[in-house]
Amino acid sequence: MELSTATLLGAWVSIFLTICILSFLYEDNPVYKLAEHLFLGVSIAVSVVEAYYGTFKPNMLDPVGRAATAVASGSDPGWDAVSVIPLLLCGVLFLKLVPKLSWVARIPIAFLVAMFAGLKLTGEANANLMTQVAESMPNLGQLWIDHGLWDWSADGAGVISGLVLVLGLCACLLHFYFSAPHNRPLRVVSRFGVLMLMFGFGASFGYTVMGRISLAIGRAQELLGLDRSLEQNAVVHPRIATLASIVLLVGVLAVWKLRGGKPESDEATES
Amino acid sequence: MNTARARNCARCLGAALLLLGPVATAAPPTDLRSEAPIYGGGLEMILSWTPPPDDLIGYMLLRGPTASGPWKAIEPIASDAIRHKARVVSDPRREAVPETVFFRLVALRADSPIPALVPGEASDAAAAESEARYVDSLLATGDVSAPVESRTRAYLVNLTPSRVMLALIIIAAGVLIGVFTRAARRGAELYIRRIPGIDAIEEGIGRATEMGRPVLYVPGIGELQEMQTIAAMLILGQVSKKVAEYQADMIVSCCIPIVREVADEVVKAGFYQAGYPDAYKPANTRFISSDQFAFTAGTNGIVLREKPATNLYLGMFFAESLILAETGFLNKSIQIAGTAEATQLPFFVTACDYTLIGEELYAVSAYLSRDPRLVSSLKSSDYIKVFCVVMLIIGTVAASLGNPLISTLFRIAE
Repeated sequence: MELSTATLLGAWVSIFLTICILSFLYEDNPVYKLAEHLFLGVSIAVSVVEAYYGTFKPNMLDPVGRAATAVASGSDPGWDAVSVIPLLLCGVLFLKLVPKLSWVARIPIAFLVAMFAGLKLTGEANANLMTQVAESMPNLGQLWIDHGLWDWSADGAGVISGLVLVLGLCACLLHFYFSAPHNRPLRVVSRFGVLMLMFGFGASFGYTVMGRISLAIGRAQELLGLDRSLEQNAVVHPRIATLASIVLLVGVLAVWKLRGGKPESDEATES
Repeated sequence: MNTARARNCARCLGAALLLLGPVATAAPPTDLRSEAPIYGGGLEMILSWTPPPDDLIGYMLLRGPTASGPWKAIEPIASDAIRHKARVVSDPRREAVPETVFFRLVALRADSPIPALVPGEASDAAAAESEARYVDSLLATGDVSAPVESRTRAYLVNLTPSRVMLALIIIAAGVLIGVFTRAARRGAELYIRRIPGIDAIEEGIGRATEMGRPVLYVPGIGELQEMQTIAAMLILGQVSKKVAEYQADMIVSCCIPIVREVADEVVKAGFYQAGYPDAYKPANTRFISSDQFAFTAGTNGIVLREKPATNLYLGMFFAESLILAETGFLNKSIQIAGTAEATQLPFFVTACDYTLIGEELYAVSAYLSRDPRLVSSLKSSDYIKVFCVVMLIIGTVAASLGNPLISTLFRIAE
C-alpha cells in the first residue's frame, strides 16, 4: 500500500502533537507551548480562509459582482443588489480605526444585534416556551392505563414520572422567580426545584464524561495504530512514531530542565 | 456550479430510490389534489393523492407554470406518502411567486427512467438540458398523474389558537416591561432577590486586588447576538467598573472577533465610568481564535502563565467548559461561572466555586446594573413564569380528564 508523503507526514505530526499536548501532565513546558501556539496559529489561518470562501465570497463578493455586471449592462440586478448593504456595513466596521469616527462602527453591531433579536423572537418563544409547556402536560389517566404507576419495561414511564415532570418543572420555574424573597413556602418549592436540577445535571455529567472517555480512547487508538488497517500501519508505523515522539520529548524536557527551565507560570509568580 | 451540484444530488437520490425497489406494473397516482395551507405564507401548497395499488419505490414531483408544462422535476417523495407540502418556487428570493402553478406526480418504479448524472463542472445549460430529457422520459412512462392547478394564497396573519396565544404572551411581556420600566423611572423600588454569585463576583475582584493578579473574564464562545453573550457583556460593564475602582487588572479572552470589539468598548466605558480611564489597557481585551478548542487552548495558556486570581466564565459555553474550569481549578483561582447551556452547567457546578444557573445569568446583569429596562424585563419574565406554572397545572389536570385544550393552545403546528 502506498500513501502520499502528505498523509504520512500528517500522521506522524498528529502523533507527535498529541504527545506534546500530553506532556502537560508533567508540567507546563516549551514543547506543550509549541503545540498550543501551533494549534492557535493554524486555527486562525483556517478560519480566515473558511470565512472568505464559505461566507464572504459566495454571500457578498459574488452577488455584488453580479449586481455590478447587471447594472453595467443595463439590466435589473434583482436581489443581488441587496448584498451591497452588508458590504457597506462591513466597511463601516473599519471606521473603528479612526478615533473621531469610531462611534460609527457601532452601527453595524447594533444592526446585527437588533436584527437577530427580531428574527429570533418568535422562534425562541416557540422552541423554549410554547413547545416546552405543551409537551409538559402529560395525560396522567392515559399513563395509568398504559403503564400504571411505574413501568420498568418502558424506561420508568408511568404516573410517577408524569408527576415528577410536571411538579419538577413547576418547582424549577419557581426557583428562578426573582421577584420575591425565598421565604418558607417558596424555599421548600425552590429546594425541590434545585434537587430536580441536580438530578438532571448528574445524569448529563455522566453522559458527557462517557463521551470524553470515548475521545481519549480515540487518541490512544491513534497512538497505538488501532484505528488504521494493517496495510496502513505497515507504511505509517504509528507505534514507532509514538515511541520516537516520546523519546524526543523526554530528551527535550531533560535538556530544558538541565538548563534550569521552569514553567512560565512559576517565573511569573516569583517575579 | 452549486446549482448543478444540487441538481446532481437530487438525481442521485432519485437514482438510488429507483435502484432499490421491486418491479411492478404501470399505474399513475390518481385524484391529485392541491390546497393552500390555512394561514400559510403563500409559498407552499399541500398536495394529497390516492396511491396506485401496486408497490412503488417512490414518487417524483413535477411543477410547471401551465397545465401543459414545461415541467421541472422538483423533489423525490417517499413511497408511503399520501400527502406532501410542496414549494411553489424553488428560491423565492430569485423567482417571482406565481398566483397559479401546476403539479404532477410521477410514480417511480424499478423500470422508471433514471436521471443522467451531470458532472459537477457541467454548465447550467447542460444541466438544464439533461433535466429536460429526464422529465420527458418520465412523462413518456404513463405513470404520471393529471396536472392539478394550485392557486397560492398568502395570509397576512396566522390566527391558529397557538399562534394567537404566542402573540398574546409576547404582547403581555412587552406591556409588563413597559409598565415596570415606567414605574422604575418614577422611582418605584423594584425588588430582585439577591443571588449568592453576585457577592462572589465582588469578593473575587477583591481577592485579585489583594494578590496583585488579574481577573480573567471569558464571555463564552457565542456570537454577539446570542442572549447569553449580550448578558455577559452587560455583566462585563459592571465588572470592569468594579475592577477599575479596585485598581486591579482584567484580561478579557474572546472567541469571536466582533465580541472582542464590543468587549473592548464595554471595558473602556467601565474604566471611564469608574474615573480611571488611564488604567484601561486595550491589549488586555484579547481575541484568541474563533476555533472552539484553539480558543480553549489559548485561554488555558492565559490561566497557566498569567495566573489570574479570579476567573469569571459568563456566557455561552459548550465542550470547553470543563477544560477551562479544570485548568482554573488547578491554578487555584476563585471561579464563578454562569451559563444557560443546560448541558454545560454540570461541569461548572462541579469545578467552579459559584455557578449562575440559567436565568440567574440574566438576573445578575439586571441586579448589578439596576438598569430599569433590564430589571423590568426580569420582572416581566417572572410573571410569565408564574403564568406558565398555572397553565402547566391546569393543563395537566385538564389533559388527565381527557381535555387537551390547554396543551393545544401551546402546541405550534408546523
